[in-house]
Amino acid sequence: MDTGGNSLPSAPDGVKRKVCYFYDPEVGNYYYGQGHPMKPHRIRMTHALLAHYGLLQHMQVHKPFPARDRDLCRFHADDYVAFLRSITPETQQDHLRQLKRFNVGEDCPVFDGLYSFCQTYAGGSVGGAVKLNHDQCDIAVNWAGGLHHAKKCEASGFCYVNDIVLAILELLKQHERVLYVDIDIHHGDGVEEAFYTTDRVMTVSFHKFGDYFPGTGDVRDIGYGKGKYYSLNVPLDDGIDDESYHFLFKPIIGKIMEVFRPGAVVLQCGADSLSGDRLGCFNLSIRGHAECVKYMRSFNVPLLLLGGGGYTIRNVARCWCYETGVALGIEVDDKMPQHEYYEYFGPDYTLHVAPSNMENKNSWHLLEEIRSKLLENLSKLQHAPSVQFQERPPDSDLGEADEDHDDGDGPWDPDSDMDIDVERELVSSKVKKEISEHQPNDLEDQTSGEHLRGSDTAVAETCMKALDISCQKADEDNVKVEQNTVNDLAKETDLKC
Amino acid sequence: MINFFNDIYTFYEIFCMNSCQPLVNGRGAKKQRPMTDSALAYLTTVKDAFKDDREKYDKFLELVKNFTAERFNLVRGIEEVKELLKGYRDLILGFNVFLPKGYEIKLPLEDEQPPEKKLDVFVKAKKLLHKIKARFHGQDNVYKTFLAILKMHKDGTKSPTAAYGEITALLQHHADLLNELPFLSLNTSRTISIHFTSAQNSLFREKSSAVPIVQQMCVLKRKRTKTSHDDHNHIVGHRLESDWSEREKDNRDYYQDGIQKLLSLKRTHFCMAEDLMARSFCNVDKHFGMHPMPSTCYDQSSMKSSERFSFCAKIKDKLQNPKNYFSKHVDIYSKEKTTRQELPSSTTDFPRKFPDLMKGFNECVTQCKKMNESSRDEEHVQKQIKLEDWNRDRHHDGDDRVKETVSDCRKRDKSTVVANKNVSGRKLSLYASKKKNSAKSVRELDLSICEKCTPSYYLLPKEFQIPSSSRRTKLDAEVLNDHWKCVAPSIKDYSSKHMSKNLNEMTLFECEDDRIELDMCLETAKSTTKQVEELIEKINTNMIERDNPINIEKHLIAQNLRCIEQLYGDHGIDVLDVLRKNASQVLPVILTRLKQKHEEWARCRADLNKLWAEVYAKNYHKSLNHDRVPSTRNQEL
Repeated sequence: MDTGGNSLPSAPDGVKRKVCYFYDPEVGNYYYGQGHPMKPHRIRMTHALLAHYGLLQHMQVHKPFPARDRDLCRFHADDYVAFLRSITPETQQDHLRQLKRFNVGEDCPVFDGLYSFCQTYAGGSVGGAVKLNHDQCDIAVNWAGGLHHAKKCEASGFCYVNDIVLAILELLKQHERVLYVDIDIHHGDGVEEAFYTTDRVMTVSFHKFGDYFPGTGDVRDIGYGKGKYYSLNVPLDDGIDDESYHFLFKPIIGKIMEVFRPGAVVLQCGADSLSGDRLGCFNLSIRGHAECVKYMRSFNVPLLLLGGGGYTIRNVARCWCYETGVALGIEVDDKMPQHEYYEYFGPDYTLHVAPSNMENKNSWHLLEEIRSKLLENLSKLQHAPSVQFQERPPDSDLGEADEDHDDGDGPWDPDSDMDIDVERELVSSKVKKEISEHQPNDLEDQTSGEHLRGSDTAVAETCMKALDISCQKADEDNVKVEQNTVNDLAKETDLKC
Repeated sequence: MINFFNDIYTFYEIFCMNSCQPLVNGRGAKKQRPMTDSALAYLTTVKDAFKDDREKYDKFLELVKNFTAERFNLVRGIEEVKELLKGYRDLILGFNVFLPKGYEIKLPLEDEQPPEKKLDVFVKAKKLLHKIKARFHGQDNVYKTFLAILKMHKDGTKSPTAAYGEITALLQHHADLLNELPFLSLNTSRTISIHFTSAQNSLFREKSSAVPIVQQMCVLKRKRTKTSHDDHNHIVGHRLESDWSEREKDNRDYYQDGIQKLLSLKRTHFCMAEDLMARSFCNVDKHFGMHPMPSTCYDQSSMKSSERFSFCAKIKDKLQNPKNYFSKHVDIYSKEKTTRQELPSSTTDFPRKFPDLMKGFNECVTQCKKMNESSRDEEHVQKQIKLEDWNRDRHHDGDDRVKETVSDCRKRDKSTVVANKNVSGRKLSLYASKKKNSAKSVRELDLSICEKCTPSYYLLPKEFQIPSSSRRTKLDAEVLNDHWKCVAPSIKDYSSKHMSKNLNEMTLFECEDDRIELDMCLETAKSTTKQVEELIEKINTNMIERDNPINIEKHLIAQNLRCIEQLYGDHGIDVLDVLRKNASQVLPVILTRLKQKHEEWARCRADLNKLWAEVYAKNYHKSLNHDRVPSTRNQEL
């Protein structure tokens, strides 16, 4: 059942989007523990589907640079980050008080490589934001990210580092306003709390409310101070289906895009709102869930797609694979190709699965009440004024060796450099291929660039200046890298510039 | 867990006396007031007040029992209670719930009522007990066994772990009852603020509801095994160890292992004879070291499933006679000595139903025997377990003191043994002092008294020292919120309202869990194999100086080392030690083993995929049916 609003291929929606995709081949090997519902293995399953559907050839694939301490400490407390870095399964019995203080131990267990896991998924989200800031892509995807419950000083709900907050902070360097949309079944409390008092970030969360974790997300939690009316909560009940969901989603988001006019959008695509999720109680189909992605995409605003919850992992992989296709503008075949995880998808081996016949406890009256309440709150906002452009802060140069040593990162091990360089070489070759395939887009970009320069010379000069700074920094770094990798780094740097 | 058992059994004793025995009122004119929830809350309060003086609390309980049984003079009983509770004005006044009208104790000033959250705890315990009784209405044996386990635990003849394991076995087919156990246990063991208790419980309830109880025990067991210790702990552990009789320990181990094996067998639907001999329960689950089965096994898969069920049912019958169970267990153990060589190694056959059951027993016996044979390792594990219990208790006591008494605000050294003395200071006021606010982390604050701007957001106190995030730019500082804390509004019991999945869905989830466990073994072994091969290559091409000891941690990540450790089971740690000393010679051996294991698992997966495909085909379409719930808006494709 397709809901109204789908665009024809010839409509503006049919325009191709340049997509960057962040994936670390080792991410699936992190293991929360036997029986724990959070399974990073699902990211690997998603990737396998993308590969065998041939979607990887249509986008730039990047291995994320691990986020550094300094990046994590832009939001998280220093002592919390230090704790995450040092704790191991062997040592945790000696830190029982700290485990309790930071809420680590049950829902958020200590497992092998915990800190590396956090660095990997946070690096993917921040890396995606950097790509968007540089206009190197229109949509960035990081299915390993989207961990929206983590707080400044504590873990929560299977989440340790809030990669979404870090990504939004990065986007704010370039964009005056950023919109965060959360379609996970759980309330996005960590992100909302982080930006509760600012008018530069609007947070919107569609979630199950009432006797459900985390217990927050009341429709009356609307923000405070400068942030008043910039937090929106859409409380829902069990069994909501596609039609009911979009009865709320599209009018609310449409109004927000009109009033708030964000320069970038972050969409958290937690798949536990799907029908049949192990911990969820909604009844969305994969198409219904992906309709949110399609709708956000239609606004042609830089878009960061992140993962999130999702505990029936076969459906998580289906959903995120299909949504990657939506981002690319490719309709993915329902019949699933053979691959190493094919057996998970029996007995039908199709991409789409039927929702159940569970009762929808959201009456139309209730939905209309919620919708009118939220639209009323939105009407209290002033239309976004145009703000004079400010000089952009320097980027987080993820993964680049730097000359100062005041952060906790150790010097790079030569062997580790080798591994990264090998991976980077692969990425470089893919990037070249991508450029050769999309030559017309480059011309289009040049046209846009000229237009930008013509309309605002100061803006263009500032951008150029920032780029020059990045180049100079990269050039300096080249000297320190081993001789046999200089060429690869140079190519990588040239491509980035 | 300990507190939970004590609470529920205490309630049972009093409840049973009052509702089961007809009252004979010698005076004829007075009627006793009925037992109420406030009485239960009162008992909890008394227990908390005397947590450091168990003897006094037991004496108080004895008084209450005697009183309810009308075994002594009322006036004299009142005087005894006054004497026993001397210094606790509120407790003395609280005792009035047990007294008939006209005999209430009166003191000059009234004290506050017990906190609401303690009442919640006891109410939940009562509800759970009633639910269990109703559930097993036609099987009094199960209910009596449950009470017997609680009583033994309370008397100290059964450890918390053993009691918990037995209850798990008793209630294994009643997931909702099992799911309530850890919730209550967690709740009773915490004294942090109401709001954070709510957050914690909801976390556990919602996010962890899919975690089987046995696997939680598995995780707990693994943690205990890895507990590190220093000389002081060693001494303490040694002292604790001497308190256990060897016979009791042996029985407990047999029983515990038997239960775990049965649950493991049932869950995986297969025998794993060889690996059971070689690995602990945790490792078996993680590695799924299953061997290829003859094709005829699949034809009998449903039959084997029913055999497993009958096997468990048979064990369940024996649980009603614990002594007989242990006696028979020992007999089998003795027989096994003479027929050890005849044990099947990797081939499984089920010509008859009975040998299947015998096989299950033999596996348990073999596991126990192996544990005895490596008595040194076992002793080490036991020591760790006891240290773990001791550390937890000490930590718990420390927290309670800090939270409940102003006079004990001083920080305690971890290594200091807490003196066993009564805490007579007044309870901490609800309004925390400024000094305490600045010393606490945000999770320890009681925000309910702070300013609230919207339903979930509370203003942190001015005195609260905001943790530092040293890498914030000016931009970050402008947009981030450090002052308003998002808190779940109240404590809620999520379990009773959460929509339950149907049985077909649960079967699919279980199948997916098995599948991912096996795939994790395969993928981890593959990743480790790759890393080991690269390391060997570096060594052989002299990229790493061969003569110097190689720093393994720099070349293999934590997951790789864990994989190698688990590959060798009980000897995993030893292998890692040898690896660190002589990597260049040990790595090729490990590599061979890794590839061998990967091939085994790959074959297992190929075989199991057929079985799992059948499970999917049988259950998938039914799993979409939620017709049990009345529906006004059905959605069907």
